[in-house]
Amino acid sequence: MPWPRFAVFVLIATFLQKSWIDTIAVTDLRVTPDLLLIGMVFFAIRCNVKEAIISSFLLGFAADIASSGLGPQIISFGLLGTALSNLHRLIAIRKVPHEAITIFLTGIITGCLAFFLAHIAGQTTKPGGLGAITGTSFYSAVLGPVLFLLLDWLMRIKNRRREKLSRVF
Amino acid sequence: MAGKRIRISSKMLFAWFMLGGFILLFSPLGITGKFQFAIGRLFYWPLKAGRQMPLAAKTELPLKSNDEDINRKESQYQNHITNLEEELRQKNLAIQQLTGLRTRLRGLEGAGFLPAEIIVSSVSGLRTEIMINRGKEDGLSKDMFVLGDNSIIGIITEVSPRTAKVRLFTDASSTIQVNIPDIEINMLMQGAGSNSAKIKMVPVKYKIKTGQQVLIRKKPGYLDSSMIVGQVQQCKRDNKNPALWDITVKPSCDASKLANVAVIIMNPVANVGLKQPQTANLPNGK
Repeated sequence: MPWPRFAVFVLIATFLQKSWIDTIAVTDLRVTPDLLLIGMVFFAIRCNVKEAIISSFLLGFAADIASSGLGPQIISFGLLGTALSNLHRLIAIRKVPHEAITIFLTGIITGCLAFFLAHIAGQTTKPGGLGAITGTSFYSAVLGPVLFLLLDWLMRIKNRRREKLSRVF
Repeated sequence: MAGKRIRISSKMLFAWFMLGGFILLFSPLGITGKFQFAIGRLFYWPLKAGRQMPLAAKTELPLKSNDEDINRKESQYQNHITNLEEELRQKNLAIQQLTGLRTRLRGLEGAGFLPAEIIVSSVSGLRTEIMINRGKEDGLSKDMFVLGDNSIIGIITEVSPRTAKVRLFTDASSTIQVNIPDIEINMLMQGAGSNSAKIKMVPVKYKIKTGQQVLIRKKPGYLDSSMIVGQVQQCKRDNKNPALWDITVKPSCDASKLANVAVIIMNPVANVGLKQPQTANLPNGK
């Protein structure tokens, strides 16, 4: 895992999520895609389990900073990222529709879990409820596979794995 | 020994991160809030640059921009006129009552305006709040009202020594008391996101027209005079209860285009950095 590139990606995604993302908001609910969620799914299905755990928690931390209150997103991103990484060892998620469905489902579960955790911790919950969560997940699922191509090029995880394998064999 | 690499299993790694997450989740909100304020200050410039990107993208041809400037100025003066008219109306009421009590000639006499710059702004979606570069050290406290383009835009919800969070009245979790001139009932305005707010529970026997001014009710100690907050954009019967109005309020000020705001400090102790309420000095958002 190229961690310096990962750090750059997290910083850029957090700044965009906090500022620029509102320009592409749609519907009356002002639904925006969640770049950090897309990143979490990408690293969970492209990296090994240990890297996926670290990246998921770090992306969750960044998502918490981009919203209000600390904790809910770290836990939900970390939990779902780890689960997704383990699941990916059993069921390979390679095709574009599968990636989109994965982002959609992960977004809904992560959003609901973060909402629930924020509620029990007495923090301000994300307004909009399930409608906003579903909208964000759907928008992220539409945009996700496109960003995956960009991230594949940026992170070059696949190429590195191929290089490693060619050295071994 | 020094070069020995520490190996940690993925299960342990997960457990440690989860523990960290739960510690952060159940930490007192004051501590986590301070941390977020610190992040906001640390990344002040990139966040500001990021915030200005959408504003720059919205900029159109210079001619149209000039038109927008003129419209905005006109809107500011219109808001100011409405505030003065409301003050005059209240003054007339006070005279009519002949109570003999000493009333203030101007609602905001003795109040100070503390100009502040917006550091972080999220004004779209259901959660609409801004972070400003003034805090406890500048005399700010919770529940103070914030002005933008001569109209109330929100109240301070969190204060750190050097920064403060302002929840706009369009935020879904915001509820404030308002009134509409000539309708003598208390109304509650609930934020609806998407740069709008809703007033419900108003019986249909009251005649409400589109374009009528909506004023925030005075709150002694924080706001000694009603001030404009928006206009009635739409008024229709409530779908669930046809005996009540469902009123949509459009803010008088477009918070997404603001760069500066002013905090109203009633009866300020120190005058450091405060501006007296004169028309020429009122914040114009530029």
